[in-house]
Amino acid sequence: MKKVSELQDFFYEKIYPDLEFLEKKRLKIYGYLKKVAIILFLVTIFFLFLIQDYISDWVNILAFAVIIPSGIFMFIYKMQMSGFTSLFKDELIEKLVLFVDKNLKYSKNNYIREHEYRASSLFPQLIDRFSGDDFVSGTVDKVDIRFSEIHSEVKKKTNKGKTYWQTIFRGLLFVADFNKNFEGKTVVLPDKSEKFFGSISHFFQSFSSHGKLVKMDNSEFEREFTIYSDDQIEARYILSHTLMDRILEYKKLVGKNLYISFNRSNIYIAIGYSEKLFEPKIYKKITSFDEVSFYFKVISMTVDIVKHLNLNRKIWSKR
Amino acid sequence: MNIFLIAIVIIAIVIVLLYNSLISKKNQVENIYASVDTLLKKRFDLIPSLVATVQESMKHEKSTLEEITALRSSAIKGGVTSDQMAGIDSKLSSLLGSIMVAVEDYPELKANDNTLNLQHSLNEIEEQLSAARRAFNQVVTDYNNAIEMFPTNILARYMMFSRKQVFAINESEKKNPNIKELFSK
Repeated sequence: MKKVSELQDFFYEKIYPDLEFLEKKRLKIYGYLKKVAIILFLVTIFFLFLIQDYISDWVNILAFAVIIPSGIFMFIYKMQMSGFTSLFKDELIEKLVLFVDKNLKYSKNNYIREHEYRASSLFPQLIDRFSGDDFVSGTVDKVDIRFSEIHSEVKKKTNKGKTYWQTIFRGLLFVADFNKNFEGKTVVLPDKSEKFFGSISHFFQSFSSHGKLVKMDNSEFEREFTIYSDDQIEARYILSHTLMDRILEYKKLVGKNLYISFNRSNIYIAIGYSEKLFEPKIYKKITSFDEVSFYFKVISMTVDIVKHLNLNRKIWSKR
Repeated sequence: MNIFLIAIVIIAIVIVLLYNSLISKKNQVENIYASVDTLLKKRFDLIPSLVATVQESMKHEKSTLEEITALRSSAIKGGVTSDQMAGIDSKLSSLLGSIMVAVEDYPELKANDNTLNLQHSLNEIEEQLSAARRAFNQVVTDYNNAIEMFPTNILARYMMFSRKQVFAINESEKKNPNIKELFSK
């Protein structure tokens, strides 16, 4: 990973002038949206005042008085933000990706496709909507990698019959060629029960659609993760002692939930994030170094998976 | 009377479940051992070519090479129990490891394609063997726990099940490089 001082130099010399231009644009949009909100509010109040004598059902009217102006506001907000977000990604995110490694390619609208998400076997639940953006691809230390932000959701209904979208996964999905040959499927998931229930949790974990439970000979790894595989020996061939330690180190570094799978000769790593990444926030200053530093850290840590997990050390059969 | 019958049925079901779990653990041990055995055989098959390739150059390691050949012969002659095989495997692993290190001192061997290929194949098999040994040790531990823990131990005694030995894992296999040190380099 590049040093903070290098990032600071890059930030002030290469990005800051363009960000200043973007910041002016942001302030303009922010001011415009504030005006739109005030006008919509006043128009609604005025409208309610005009029709007050004809209103018998206040609850429904008030609901409409909130929904319709909010809908109009959201429409205007999206219109204003789409061009701005696109510019933000061109001026900042793409430059940061190239700063991390100039051999990488960035495509703001592209993303890891659903068939790859399914091939990862990390989230076997049925999904109804799949989206993403910020696709990064390239070769790092002779290893082909690609990752993007993804969001998978399922449509649910409440008891009252109202539909809503439930997130299955939101975050980054990283795919790379793994350095060993294998045929089966091995999945490493965050362990939520072992910390509380100890070895009793093995009994409950053994009922899973991911495959057979694999008990690893590394107690810290066992505490943090649950491992499933369709081949007990292959799971240990892939998850050597060294790799398990490296994954634990990487988890500490990232501080997020890690979902890892090995399938079709690839390694898939999903890193959970609670909010959308690489998007400008209209109420936040764009020229802030902390924000840029956060984006840099996320990109850099994901690209560095190759080094952290030693994926460039090709095993003999894969030369 | 009814309660008595229900109690008998429940006890019978528990006994069947415990019996099945013991059998499944025993079969798992045999199953994984078969994989270890296949990999061990694969490695035994490589030994004659390895010895033939390096013995001309490696005069100082003659005794080690002889020991490797002798171990191989004793392992493939048949009638070797899994516990004896574990002993042979451990010795052979360390001897082969020392030969692989010694190859570094012979420039003519290091440049030889045949030696390199053999070295790659051996390393690959070692890696797979290490995984198989770890899998074997896990199922043996589960099996040993089952035959020693209550209530399966009572049934295991009637079924004449005895403890099985795990494979010794080389210290070098368990030892990992200090990752922090590697990163700071």
